[in-house]
Amino acid sequence: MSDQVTLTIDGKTVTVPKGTLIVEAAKQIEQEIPVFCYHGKLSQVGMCRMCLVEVGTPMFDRATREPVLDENGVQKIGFFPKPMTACTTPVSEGMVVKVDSGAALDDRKAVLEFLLTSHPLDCPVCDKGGECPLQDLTMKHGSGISRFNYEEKQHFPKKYPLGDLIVLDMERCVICTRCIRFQSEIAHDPVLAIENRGRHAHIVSYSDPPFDSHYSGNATDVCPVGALTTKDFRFGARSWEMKNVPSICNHCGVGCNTVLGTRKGGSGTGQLKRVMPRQNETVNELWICDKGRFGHHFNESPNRLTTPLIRQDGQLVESTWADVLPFIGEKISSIKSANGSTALGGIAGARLSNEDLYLFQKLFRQIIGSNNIDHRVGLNANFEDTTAYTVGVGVGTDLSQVGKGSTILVIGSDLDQEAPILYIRVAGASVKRSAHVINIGGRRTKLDAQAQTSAYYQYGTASYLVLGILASVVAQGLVNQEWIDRHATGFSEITKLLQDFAPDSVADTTGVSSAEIEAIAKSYAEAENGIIIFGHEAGNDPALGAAIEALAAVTGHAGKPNNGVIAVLPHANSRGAADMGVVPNRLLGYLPLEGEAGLSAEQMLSGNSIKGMIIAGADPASESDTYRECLQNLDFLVVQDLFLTETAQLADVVLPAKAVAERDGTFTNLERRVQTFDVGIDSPLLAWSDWLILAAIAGQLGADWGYASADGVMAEITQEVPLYQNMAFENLVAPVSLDRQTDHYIYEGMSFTADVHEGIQWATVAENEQQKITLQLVVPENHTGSDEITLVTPRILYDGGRLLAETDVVQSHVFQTRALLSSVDAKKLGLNNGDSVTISQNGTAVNLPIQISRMLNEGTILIPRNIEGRPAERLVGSSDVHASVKVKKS
Amino acid sequence: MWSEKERQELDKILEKYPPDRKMSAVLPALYVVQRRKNYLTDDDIKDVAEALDVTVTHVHSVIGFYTLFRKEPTGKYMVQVCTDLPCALRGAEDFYHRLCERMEIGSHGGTTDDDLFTVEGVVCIAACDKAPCMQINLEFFESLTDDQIDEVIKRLRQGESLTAVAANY
Amino acid sequence: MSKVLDRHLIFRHRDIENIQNIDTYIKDDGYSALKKALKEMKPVDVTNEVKSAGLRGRGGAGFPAGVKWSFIPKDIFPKYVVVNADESEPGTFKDREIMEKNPHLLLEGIALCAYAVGASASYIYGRGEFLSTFRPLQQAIDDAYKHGFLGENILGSGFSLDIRLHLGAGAYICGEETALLNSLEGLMGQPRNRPPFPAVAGLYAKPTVINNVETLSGVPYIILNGIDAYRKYGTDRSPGTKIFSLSGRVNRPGNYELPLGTPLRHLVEECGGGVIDGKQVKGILPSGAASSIMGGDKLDTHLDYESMVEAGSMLGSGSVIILDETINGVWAAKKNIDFFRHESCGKCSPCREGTHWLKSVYTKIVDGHGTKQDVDMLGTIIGQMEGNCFCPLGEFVVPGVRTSLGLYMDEYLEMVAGNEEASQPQKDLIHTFF
Ligand SMILES: Cc1cc2nc3c(=O)[nH]c(=O)nc-3n(C[C@H](O)[C@H](O)[C@H](O)COP(=O)(O)O)c2cc1C
Ligand code: SF4
Ligand code: FES
Repeated sequence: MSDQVTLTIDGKTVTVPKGTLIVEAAKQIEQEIPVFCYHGKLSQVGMCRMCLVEVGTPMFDRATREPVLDENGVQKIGFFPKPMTACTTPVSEGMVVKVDSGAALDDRKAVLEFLLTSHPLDCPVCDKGGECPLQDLTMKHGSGISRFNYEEKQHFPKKYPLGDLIVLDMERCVICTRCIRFQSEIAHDPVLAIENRGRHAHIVSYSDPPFDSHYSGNATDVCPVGALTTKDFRFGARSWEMKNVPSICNHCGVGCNTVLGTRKGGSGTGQLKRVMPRQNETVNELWICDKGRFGHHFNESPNRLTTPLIRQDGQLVESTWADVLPFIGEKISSIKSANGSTALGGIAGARLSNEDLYLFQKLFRQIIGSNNIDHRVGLNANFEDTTAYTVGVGVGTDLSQVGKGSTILVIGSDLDQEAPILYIRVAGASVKRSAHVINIGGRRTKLDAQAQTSAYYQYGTASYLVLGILASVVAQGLVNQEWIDRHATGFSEITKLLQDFAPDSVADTTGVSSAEIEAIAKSYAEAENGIIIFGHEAGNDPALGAAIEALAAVTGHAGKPNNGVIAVLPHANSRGAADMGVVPNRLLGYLPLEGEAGLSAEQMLSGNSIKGMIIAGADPASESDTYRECLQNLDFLVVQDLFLTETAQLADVVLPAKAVAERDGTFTNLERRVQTFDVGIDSPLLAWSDWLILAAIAGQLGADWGYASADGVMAEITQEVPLYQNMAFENLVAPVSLDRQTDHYIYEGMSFTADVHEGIQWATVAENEQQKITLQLVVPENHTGSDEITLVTPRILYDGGRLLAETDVVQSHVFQTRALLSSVDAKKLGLNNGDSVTISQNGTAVNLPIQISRMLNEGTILIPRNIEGRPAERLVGSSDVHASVKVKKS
Repeated sequence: MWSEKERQELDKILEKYPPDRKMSAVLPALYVVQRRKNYLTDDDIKDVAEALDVTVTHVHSVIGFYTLFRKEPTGKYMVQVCTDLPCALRGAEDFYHRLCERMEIGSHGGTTDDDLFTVEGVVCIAACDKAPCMQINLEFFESLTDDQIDEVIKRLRQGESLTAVAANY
Repeated sequence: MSKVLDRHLIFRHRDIENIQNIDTYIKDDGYSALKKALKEMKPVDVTNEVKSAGLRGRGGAGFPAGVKWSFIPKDIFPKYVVVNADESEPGTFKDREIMEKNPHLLLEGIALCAYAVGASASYIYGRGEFLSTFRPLQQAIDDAYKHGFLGENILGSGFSLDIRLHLGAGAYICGEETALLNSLEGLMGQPRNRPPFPAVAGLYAKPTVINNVETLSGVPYIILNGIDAYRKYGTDRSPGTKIFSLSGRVNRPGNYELPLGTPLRHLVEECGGGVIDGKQVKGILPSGAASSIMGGDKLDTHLDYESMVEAGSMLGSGSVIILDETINGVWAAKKNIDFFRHESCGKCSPCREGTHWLKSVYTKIVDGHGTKQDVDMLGTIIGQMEGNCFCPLGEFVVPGVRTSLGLYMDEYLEMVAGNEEASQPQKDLIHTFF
C-alpha cells in the first residue's frame, strides 16, 4: 500500500502522507479550517467542535467488497451522518471533505455562537485584539446580534492572577485546554487544570507558587483568545501598532529566536512592549522560556549607564566620548611602553556578539600585542570546550526530529535550569518520539521524569564514568571501526589507557554499577543516532572533554545530522566567544597559538602582573574578594557595560554600551548556529555598540579599521575565520524554506508577521574529509572520596545576575539565597527547613538558611552559583563546581 | 497527615491497582480523607497528592468535577434528597421543601443551626420507585413519609449511629 | 399481576429467598455455568455462545455483547473487564437491585466474560452513591474468593481472576464508557476520543471489555442452559429478558423482568397497576431523561430494540418514566434539561453552552416570562447541538426537547401567551465591538 493518500477538499485534490489529519491536509491547499483546541504541537482532543466538516468516503458493497457505482459509473461517496472533527480525523484514500458547504458552515456558526454565549466581547480592550482567532472568526461567521440572554452570562473574576506573571480572564476562555496541554505535554509542569464541570469549568493552578513553571508565558501564546495574558504586556499596546523586530534571546546559549514587539512612544524613542518567540523549528520551535520573555525590562531600567564616566579625585564623573577615548589611548600606550604589552589584558563577557568578540581579540592580539584575553568568568567557571569544534552535533541537527532509534546522553546538566528550551526538546524527544534519553548526574533533576534511564555518579567522577562507558563500548566490541579509520587517529593508543577503566573499577569510583555502565554504553553505541549533551555539573575537568570526544568518535556518532556533542555553555554567545578565540591559548577558529599562551581570566585576576585591563560586559568583582582586590590594584581599568556594576565601580573609565535590543549583530548558539539580531529600540543617546567602542579604542592606538557596521565586521570574520566563511549577513538572513505556516496562526504559527531565519551552523572537523581528529585521553585527577559533604554549585535560571536584578516583573522568582540539603542529611544534623547552617571549606565559612530538598542525594549540599552574596563562589572559587565542605548547625 | 488507620486503609486501596497506576486511587483516597472533617481541607488534598504522586492541582481538578467531594464545611450529616423528574413526579420537590422546613432551614436547603445536617436537592440516585427518597451520608432512605423524617432526625440528633438508623428504612 | 415468566433469569432473588447467600446461590445451580465453561469450553466457545444467543448490551446502546468480546485482541496483555455499574440515568435502578440482591449472578457473569476474553482483572465501577450497595457485593466477592470461584487458578482450571470494586463520586457522564475509564484512572470523568476503542486501548490503554451489570448477569443462564433456552424468551432480534425500571405516575413503580417484546401496556397496566387515580397516560419516557417522549397512544408498542426505534424512540436501559395528564409537559422537559445542564462535563462547547442556554430559556418560559420567540429558540438551540457534540450526553438532550415541543406545543404556547416580544432589548453585538 502506498504511503500517500489522495483526497478532495471542497473540490480541490490534495495528496498527503497516510495518517495526516484533515486539518493538516487542508492547510496544504490553503483551505483554512477554523480550530480552537487543535494545535499542531499538542495532542488532539477534538473538544471545541469548531472544526466540524462533512466527510464522505467511497462506498463499497458490504458483501462483495466491490465499489458501489452511480448511474455514471462513478463510485458513490457515502457521507457520515454526523459532521466530523477535522482535527482528529485522519484522511483516507478517496475521502471527500466539505468545509465550506452549507451544513458544515451552519455547524461552524452554531459552535461559534455557543462559544460566544458568555464571552464578554471586550475586543477593544483585549490584548489579543487584532491577533485573535475568535475575533477573526466572529467577524467572518458571527451573527451581529446576541440571542443569548445577557443576564444569564457566566461571570468570573476579571483579572485573576494565575501566577505572578500570567493573568487569567476566564470569561474570555473557550475551554480549549491548549494551555493545560502545553504545560503537561511540552513543559512537563502539569500545574494547570480545569476545576469544576460544565459551565462552571475554569482554569486553575494550585501549585506552590501558583503556575510554577519556567515556561508559563508560552501558555499565553497558545491561548487562542485573550484569556491568558502576560502581566507586563497587559494593556501595553495593540498588536497592529507594533513593529516586530527579529532578535535572539540573550539569556542563555540555546539562542531562541525572538521577536521584539516595539512601538514608537510619545518621545519618539522605540519602546520594547513585549518579547515573543519567533518560530525556528531547529532551535526553539515555537517556545521561549519565561526568562527570555520577561527578562527584557532591564533595557528601560533607570540604572542604565547613559554617558561615559571618568574617575576624578576618586569619583566617577560624567564625561564625553571625545574626552575619554584619547585618555584611554594614552593610558594603554603608556602601560605598554612601561611594562610591556603582557601587562595588559582583557575580559569580554560571553554575552557580547561575535562582532564585538572578534574585534576584542583583534584589539589585543594585533594592536596591543597581548594574548591575555578570556571570556571565562562568572558562570563560565574557567570551562573550556573544544568538543564542539571536533565532534559537535552535525550540521542539520534538529532535536525536534530526534526520536526512536536515537540515544541522548545528558551528563551533568540540569537542563530545565541551564538551557530551558533545550530541556523541552530533549524531554520531547523522549516522551513524544521515544528517543532513549539517559540522564546522568550527581543528583536528581527534572529531566529524570521524562528520561527512560537515570544514573547518579559521585560528584567529581563524571570523567571516570565517561571513560568507563568508553571502555565498555570497546570491550563490548561496539566501536565503529570504519568511521574511526576515516576520521580519527590515535584509537589504538587510547584503548591501552582504557584498560584502567573497566566498568567494575569505574563502578567503585563513581557509584554507578557496572551493569548500568554497560547498558548505557550499549544503548549509546548501538543507537542509530547518538547525541551527548554535557554541562556544568559534570565538573571542570580536561579529562571529561577528551573522553566525551573519544566516545562520540569511536561510536561514529559525529559528523552527521542528529549526532555529536553539545556542551551546555552558560551565556548567549559562549560558543561564539570560543569561536572568536577570546581565550588565552588559542586563536580564532580553534587555530593553535604560536608562541606563549596568555593569561586566563582567573590568572589575570589573581596575580599582579597585569597593570591595565579592558573589561567588556563582565563583572568579575562581584564574584570574589581576590578579584576585587586585584582590580583595585590595577593602574588602569576600562569597563564597558550597561550598568555601573561592581567592576565598573572600580574602573577609571566606564563606557555605556548598547543592549542587544538596541543594536544588531550575531550570536552563535550551543549547536554552533550563527544567528542575527536586529535593532529593535533606541538606546540611551550616548551608548555605543561594544564593537564600535573597541574600534574607537583601537583607533586611539593607531589602528585604522574603518568598520561602518556590524555587518562590516562580520564580512571580515568570514574572511578571517574559515569556519565562518558562509556567515555573511545576507546569507544569515536569507529566507528559509521551513515547514512553517506563519500566516496560519490559528493552528500553531506566530500571531504576528516577522522575518524568520534558520541560522547557519559551521561544520565540525568530523564533517571535514580533509581533517582528522586526534584521539587523546587525559587521565582524570585522582578522585578522593570524602566523608564530608559535597557542595554542588549548579547554574540556575533565575539567579542573581544583573539583567534579572534590573527586571521588576520576575523579582519574586529570583532565587533567595539559601542552601539545599537532602532530608537524610538534614535529619542527621538535626535541621529543619529554615534553620541556619555554617558551611566551611579551607578557612572560608558562610552562614545560610537551609531548605530540605527531595532532589538531592545523601551527602550533598547545593548552593546555586551567581546568587546574591555569591556564597557558592566564595566557597568553591570561580573555576570549581564542587568541593568537600563541612556543614554545621549554626 | 495520614493516621495509622488511614494509612492501612490507603494501602489496601492501592493494592487494587497496578503499582504504576497509583493515580487510580484518587477518588477512593479522597473518600478516606474527606471522612476526617466531612469536607476536604488543603492539607487533606496535599496528603492525597503526595501519597499518590500527583500534583495538588490535579487533585483539585478531580474534586471539582465530582459532586460528592466538598471543599466547604458541611453538617455532620449530608442529607441529599432526590428531586429529579421520576421522583418529582411523585411529589419529591414538595417533600424536599417540607423536609427543609421541618429542619428549619427555609425551603431550599442549607445547614441546620446545630451544624448537624446539611440538606440539598440532588439528581437521580437510583431509587425512583421508592420516592420520596434520600441519602444521608450515602445511606439510602426510601419511600419516606413526613413522620419518618422527624423520626430519623430525632434519632440522629440523639446520637444513634447512622447505620443503625438506616437499617430501619 | 399476570406472570409472563415461569422463572426469572436475572431476578432469581424474587423466586428464591436469600440468594445473595453463596450457599443458596450454589444450590440453585449457581457457578455451574462457570464450572461448565472452565471444564468443557474453550474461551472462544463462550464468546460464540453469547454471540449466538444474541445477548445485547443492557446499558443503553444495545450492542451485541458477544460481538464486543470478539473485538478484544488476543495478543495484548493484560486485558480488563470493566463493569459499568454507574447507573445514573434518571429512572434507572435495576443494576442496584441485582448487585444488592443477586450479586453472585453478576460475579459469575464477569468471570465468564473474563474467561472468554482472557482477562485476569476486573473492576466494577459503581456510582459514588452506591456505597451501601457495594457492601453486599463486597461480601459476595469475599465469599466467592473463599469458595475458589475467584482468585488464583479458579477450580483448578489455570484461569485466574481478581474482581475489585471502585466507587465514582457523583457524575452521570461516568456512565459513558470512556469517561468511566478516565474516572477509573483517577482523572476527571470526561469522555475520550474514539478511536481507539476500549476494546483495543481501554483501561490503562489495554484491551478492555466494558459491559453493563445486567448484560453480564445475563451470561450465566446462556452458558448453562444454551442458546435455545435463552432464545425462548424475547424476539428474534432482541432475545432474552430485560429488566424494566418503571417509575413516575403509576401505582406500582418498580423493576420488572420481562421477555423483550412484551407490550408496553403490559408493563404499565399489569405490572405497574396502571396510572395513579386512573388518569390517562400523557407521555412515556422509555429510556430515562434521554428519551424521545412517546405519546400515551404508543402504549401498544412492544418493548424490544427494534419496535421502540420504529415507534420513534429507544429502548435504552429500560427506564420507563410515565407522565400522566396531571403533569405539565413543559415542566417535565425542563426537569430533564436541568439534569443535563447539571451533568454536562464541560468538555465540548455545544453541550457545555447548549445545555446552559436551554436551561436559561426554559427557566424563563416556566417562570412565566417567556415569549413565542423563546419557544422557537429551543428548537434552534437543539438544532445547533444535534450531531455536533463530542459524546452522546449532549446528543441525549435533543430528542426530549424536540418531542416535547411536538407533543406539548399547546402547553408551551399557553405558558408564553400574552407576553410581549423583546420585553428585554436584545443587545447589538456591533455596538459592543466598536
Ligand atoms: C451519558 C451516558 C451515560 C451512560 N450511563 C450508563 C450507565 O449508567 N450504565 C451503563 O451500563 N451504561 C451507560 N451508558 C452506556 C455505556 O457507554 C456503554 O454503552 C455500556 O456500558 C456498554 O455496556 P453494554 O454493552 O453491556 O450495555 C451511558 C452512556 C452515555 C453516553
Ligand atoms: S485559557 Fe485559553 S488556552 Fe486555556 S483553555 Fe482557556 S482559551 Fe484555552
Ligand atoms: S474540535 Fe477540532 S479544533 Fe477543536
